[in-house]
Amino acid sequence: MKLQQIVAQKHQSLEKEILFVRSADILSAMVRLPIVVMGLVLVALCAPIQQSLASSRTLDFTIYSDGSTHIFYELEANPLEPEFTVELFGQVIENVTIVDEEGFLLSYEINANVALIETFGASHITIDYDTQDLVSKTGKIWKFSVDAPIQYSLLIPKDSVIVEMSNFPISMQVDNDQSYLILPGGLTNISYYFSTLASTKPVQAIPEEDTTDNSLAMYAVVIAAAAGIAALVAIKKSKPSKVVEPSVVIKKEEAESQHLDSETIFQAKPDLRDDDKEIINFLSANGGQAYESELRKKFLLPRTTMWRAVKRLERQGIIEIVKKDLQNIVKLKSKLEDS
Amino acid sequence: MNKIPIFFLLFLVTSMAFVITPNVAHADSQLDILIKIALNTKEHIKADIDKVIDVTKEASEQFDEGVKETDLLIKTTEEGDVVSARQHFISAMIAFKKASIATDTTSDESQKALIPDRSQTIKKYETNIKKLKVISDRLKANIDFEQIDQLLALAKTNYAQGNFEQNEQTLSNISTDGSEIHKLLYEISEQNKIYRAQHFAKKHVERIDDLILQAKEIGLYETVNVLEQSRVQLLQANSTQIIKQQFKITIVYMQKVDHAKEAQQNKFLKLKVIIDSLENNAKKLSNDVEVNSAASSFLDRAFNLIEDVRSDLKDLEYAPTTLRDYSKYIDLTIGNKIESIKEMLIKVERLIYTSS
Repeated sequence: MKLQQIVAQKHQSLEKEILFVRSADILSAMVRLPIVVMGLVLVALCAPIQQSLASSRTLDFTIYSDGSTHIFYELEANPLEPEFTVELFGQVIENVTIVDEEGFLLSYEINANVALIETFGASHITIDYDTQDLVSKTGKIWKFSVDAPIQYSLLIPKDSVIVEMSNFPISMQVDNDQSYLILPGGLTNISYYFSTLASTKPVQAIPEEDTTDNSLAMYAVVIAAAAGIAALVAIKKSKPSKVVEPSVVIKKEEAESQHLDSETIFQAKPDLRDDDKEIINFLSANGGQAYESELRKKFLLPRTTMWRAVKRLERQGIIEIVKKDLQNIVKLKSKLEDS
Repeated sequence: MNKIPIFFLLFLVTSMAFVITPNVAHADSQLDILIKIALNTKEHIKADIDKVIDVTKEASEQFDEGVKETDLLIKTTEEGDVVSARQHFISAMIAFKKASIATDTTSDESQKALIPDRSQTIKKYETNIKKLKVISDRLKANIDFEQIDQLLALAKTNYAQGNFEQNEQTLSNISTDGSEIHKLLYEISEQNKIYRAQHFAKKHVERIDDLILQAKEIGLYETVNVLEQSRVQLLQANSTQIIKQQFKITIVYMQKVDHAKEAQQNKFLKLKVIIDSLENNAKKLSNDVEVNSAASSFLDRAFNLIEDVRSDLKDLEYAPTTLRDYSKYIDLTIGNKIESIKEMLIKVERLIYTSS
C-alpha cells in the first residue's frame, strides 16, 4: 500500500514536470511551446549566419593572360597587436595595397615573401598584390602552382584550356570562356594553354543545386519561410488547408513547338538506356520540355539519380538544360548533336 | 489555437535540418566538374589536331588515350565510383597534356601568331584604379585621376579598334601612372599613421594600468616601475617605432606577471590543502584528548591557529593589495603558523600516546 502511494505520488509529480506524458496533457503543456518556438527561431536564424561567418578568411587568385597573378587575401588580425605577419604567395611582390576594415592604407615591410604589416589595432585586413612567380611557361603550356593554406578561388584566363590539375575542384563555373574554380587548400598545380579555337559554345555552368553552396540553402529557407507564412495566413482564415504544389507544370502553350520526335532520337541513338528512353518519351509527350522536378516526381527517382540521367542525355546532345527561377527546365533539342 | 506554434515548430525543425545537413550530392557534383573539364580539353585538343596537317603519331596516340580515359571517367561517374573516376580524370589529363605538347611542336606557328588578350589586363588596371580612388577618397587626398582615366579610355578604344601594338604603350603608361598614384597615397597614409599608432598606444595604456594593479597585488614592484615608465613613454610617443618598442617591453612584463600570478595561485591552493589536512588531523585527535588536559590545551591552540591561518588566507584572497609583500607574507607569516600547528599536533599525539 505504501509502495503504491509512493508510485502514485511519483506519477503525479512527473505529470507536473514532464512535457510529454499523456495526450490530454500535451495541449495544456503547449502553453510553453511559444517559448520553445522562439528559441528555435533564434537557433534556426543563427545556423546559416554562423555558417556564413565561420570562414573569415578569403583568398582569391586571378591569373592574367600575361602570366601575372593578382592575389586578393582577406584575413583577421589581432586588434591588440601593433603588427601582423603574413606569408605572401610568390617572391617578387608588386602593386601591394593593404587596407584595414575601414579602407585605410596600412604600412608594411616585405622580406622575401613575408609581409610585416603595421596594423595598430586593425582587426580585418585586405591585401591586394600582383606576382609573376606563380605561373611558369614551358613551350605553350602555362603552369600555375600554389600551396594555399585555405580553400581559395581561381579565375583562369579567357580561352585557356586546362590540361593538368593536381587538386580536385569543389566547384566550377564557366562564364565567357573563363573558368572560375573553387579549390581546397593544399598544393595545387594547374597547367593550361591558350586555345587557338575561339569556342562558340560556352561550357555550361554546373547548376547550383548540386553544389555545397550554402546560399542555396539560405534561398530554400527563405522560400520555405514565405511558404510557411502563406500557410499560416491560410490557417488563420480557417480555410481548409490545401497542399500547394511547389513545382508548376509547364503549360503546353509555353512549350516549344519544334523539338525532336522520340522515334527519331531512338533511331539515331539505338544504344540508349531504357530509363533514358522513358524520359525522352515523357518529354516528347509533354511538348518537348519539363521541369527536372516534374521528371523526378513522374519517375519517382532521387534528385541525384535524375540529375545523372539528365546530364547523360545532355552529354549525348539529346536535351538541353535551361535554368528558370532556380529550377532546371529539361528541353528536347530541335536537332541531334554528336556526343 | 495551438496549430500555429505546432506548424512553426515543424517548419523550423525541417528548415534547421535542411540548413545543417551537409549536401550529399557533393561528390557527384565534383565528378561532373571533372567531366566538364576533360570534355572541354578534349574538344580543344581535337580542334588543334585537326588544324595540323601532319599529326605526329605521339599526339594522335595520346589524344586517343585521353579520349578513352574520358569515356571511362564518364562511365565510372555514372556508376558512382568516385575513386576510379578521379583516377581516370588524372590519366585523361596526363594524356591530353602530352597530346597538346606533341601537337605544339607541329603547330608552333599558330601559337606564335596568337596575340595575348589584353582585355583582361585592361580590366585589371580598371579594378586597381577604382581601388586607388576609394583609398584616395578615404584619405581625402584630392588626387587627380583625370589623366589615368583618359589613358584607360584610350586603352579600351585601342582594344576595340584592334590597335594592339599601340595599346601596349598605353597600358605601360597606365601602369606607370598607377604606380605613382599608389606611391603618393602611401606617402599621405604615412603622415596619418602616427595618429593611428597613438590611438593604439592609448588603448594599450589601459591594459598596462590593469597590469600595474596586478603586479602590485603580487608584489612585483620592479615590474610596476618598468610598466609605469612604459606607460609614460607610450603616452608621449611621437614615433611608431617607440610605440612598437614599448609595446614589446610591456608584453614581456605581461608574461612575467602572468607567470607570477599562476605561481602564487598554486602556492595559495597548496596552503589551503595543507590547512584542510591539518584540520582533519586535529578533528581526529579531538576524540582522544578528553583525558589529557595538556593535550587538550595544545589542541585548542592548534584549532585557534588553524582559524587564524584561514582568516589570513581569506585576507589574501579578498584584499591582497593591502599587503606590502604578498610572497613574503605567505612564506613567513602563514608558513610559520602552519609549522606551529604541525608541531602542536605532534605534541598532542605524543601526549595522547603516553597517557594511554
